[in-house]
Amino acid sequence: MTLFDCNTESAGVVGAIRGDLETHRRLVDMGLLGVEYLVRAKKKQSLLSDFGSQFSAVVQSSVAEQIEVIENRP
Amino acid sequence: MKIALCGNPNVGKTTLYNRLTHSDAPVGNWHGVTVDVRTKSIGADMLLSDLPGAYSLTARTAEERITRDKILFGGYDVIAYVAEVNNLRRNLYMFMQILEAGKRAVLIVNMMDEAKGKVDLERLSKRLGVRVIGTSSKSENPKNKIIEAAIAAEKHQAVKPEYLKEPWLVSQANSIKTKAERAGLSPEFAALKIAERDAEIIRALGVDSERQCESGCSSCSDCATIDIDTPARLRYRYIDILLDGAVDKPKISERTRKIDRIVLGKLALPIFLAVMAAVFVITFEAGKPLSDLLVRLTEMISDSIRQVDMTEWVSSLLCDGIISGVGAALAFMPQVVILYLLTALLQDSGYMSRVAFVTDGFFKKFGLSGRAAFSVILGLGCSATAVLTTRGIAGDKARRRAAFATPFCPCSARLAVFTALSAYFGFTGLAVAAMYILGFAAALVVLKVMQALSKRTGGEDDCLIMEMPPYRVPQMKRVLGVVMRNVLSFIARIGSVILGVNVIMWVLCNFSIANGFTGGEQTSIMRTFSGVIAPIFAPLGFGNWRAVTALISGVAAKETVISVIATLGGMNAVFGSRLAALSFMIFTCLYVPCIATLSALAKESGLKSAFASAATHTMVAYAASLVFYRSALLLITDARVFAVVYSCLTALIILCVVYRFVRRHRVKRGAV
Repeated sequence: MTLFDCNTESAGVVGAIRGDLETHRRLVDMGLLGVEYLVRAKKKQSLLSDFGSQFSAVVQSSVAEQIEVIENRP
Repeated sequence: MKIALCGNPNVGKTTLYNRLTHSDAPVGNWHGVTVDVRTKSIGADMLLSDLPGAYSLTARTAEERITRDKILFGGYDVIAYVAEVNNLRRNLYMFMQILEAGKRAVLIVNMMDEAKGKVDLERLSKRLGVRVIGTSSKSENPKNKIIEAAIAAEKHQAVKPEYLKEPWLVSQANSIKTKAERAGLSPEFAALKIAERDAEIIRALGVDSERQCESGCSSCSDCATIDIDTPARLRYRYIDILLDGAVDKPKISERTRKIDRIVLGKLALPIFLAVMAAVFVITFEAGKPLSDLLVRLTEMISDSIRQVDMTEWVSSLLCDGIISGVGAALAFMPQVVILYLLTALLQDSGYMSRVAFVTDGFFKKFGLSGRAAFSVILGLGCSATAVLTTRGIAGDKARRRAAFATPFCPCSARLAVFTALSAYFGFTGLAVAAMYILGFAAALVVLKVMQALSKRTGGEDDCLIMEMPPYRVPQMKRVLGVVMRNVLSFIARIGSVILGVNVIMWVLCNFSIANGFTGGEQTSIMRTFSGVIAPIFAPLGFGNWRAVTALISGVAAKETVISVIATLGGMNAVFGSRLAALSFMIFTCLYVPCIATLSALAKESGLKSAFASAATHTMVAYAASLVFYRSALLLITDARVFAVVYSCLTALIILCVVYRFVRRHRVKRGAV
């Protein structure tokens, strides 16, 4: 399951980051590997998610498809 | 001593820089505000440079490359790294890279007044081995502490993080030591960059990263376990150890989450449009009474001076050249101030970053991302600033497109022209709003054309991931600082460019080579020149030398359009009808940007782009004015013909849309 597949208010942990070299490195540099996420708003082209306890970011859909997540079971 | 101030975007570097240097550089509660390197003295033989924000020394955007190159090769004695107290884990990532690179550094933990939990800076400093200073906008000026820390850091060896002692890293570093030193890089830093596959650093080192392990490494079993994420894991693991027990983990503000549920929910776009509409309505309506007062005051002063007995040309210069001209521009300062105040409040609250998210899908249709919304909104104040901020857009083609199209969005100077014409001819606020819609529409059309052309040569993606700052109650000190800076800049422009252009225009319009001072009654230098090109504008309704003179002066600064009109006898002397005035307004909305904007464009995209921009703007302005004026005349003189022509055009447009829709539907069905 990827971040792109998540609905609003979906929460869990970032499992792995795929994508091309530059995308992968940028997301890893931003500390997304292994952090908790919470999707707060979703549109067709992008979504807004909290990552960890410290920051929120808008992620393009094409990038959200590269972020594999493990969703918390309700 | 040279000190570089750097850190992630939106941590308060520039606010701190302004405090330390008593400057007034632009700040905003979003990233991408600082796009240039500013340097100022902060003491005897001490220079401080403010670098653009960056997340990592692996650069992706133009501004990140500037920061990386300045840090690695800029010859700074000490790096003063600014981190936000509630974002330390992520902010310290780049700090680790700076220490890996062997740079002497101090850590400044900013926004301490907003800390959500315990922050033990002393413990952090001890663990890091560097001086750590806590600051906030409410604390005393930290200048002396920072200088003291920088002097102390310069005297000692650079601190190296513990993870640099990893065996695989040590052996890699040894194997590329010569190449690293030749490239001016620390071997450990170079080794980590190779592991990360940083193409630009690898190129600088002149190594083949694929073969490095086979040829240089002495412990291949270690290298087999090193993947591209290993350096990042090492850094974050180290950061977690540093912060454990020293800093409480903050949580994302519930207030931010609650507000975002509304602002970014189903009503996101209507809320955004309502906010923008409110900004414009307040700007026009609240500023109008004071603006009218200033116009009356200017007229009173002018009339009083005319009563005084003095030489005719001196009286004319003072009244028509200076007071009328400068007064006309100054009269619209209330609207400009209110616009700056409202946009500064929106910026400081954190709402502007949400605008990028809300408009992202919209801008995607034109080959950009919501990041372009920053430039567009800044362009409402000043096009030149907006063009410079496009530097933060990732992707060369996307950046060039944004820089090219942004000046179509009307700036505050053009607002002064719209407001003056509307006030005189009794156009409602709708006419001014229509100019903004026209400007944005023109920008979108240009973007679409550029996107279509760029697809033939291959487009580029834009921003991958964009940080969203929390909402803040706007700090009035910061907001008023922004407004004051912009107002002073506006006044300075009036006192320099506008005054200068008005005086020059007055001379050219009131003197002739043969007869000296003519008082504007006979042929003057400008009248002769403008008179030659005025017929070109006749189809647009304002083919007279005065209107053309005003347009020429507008290339220096748009405010001079109305001040020159005032100098040349006022609105009635320039425009024969309200229709001509509207046509002129449309032309002014779209024609060539001011010199400052063209210079910014030349700086960002090259001279060719600046010339292309000037040409495109003028052609679009001419076409729009021509269509409007001729259509309006047709409607007035022969409504039946107007109805037939425009019905046929509308039918044609509808047919094209239907055809495209049907074709797309057929393609989709064919694909299924």
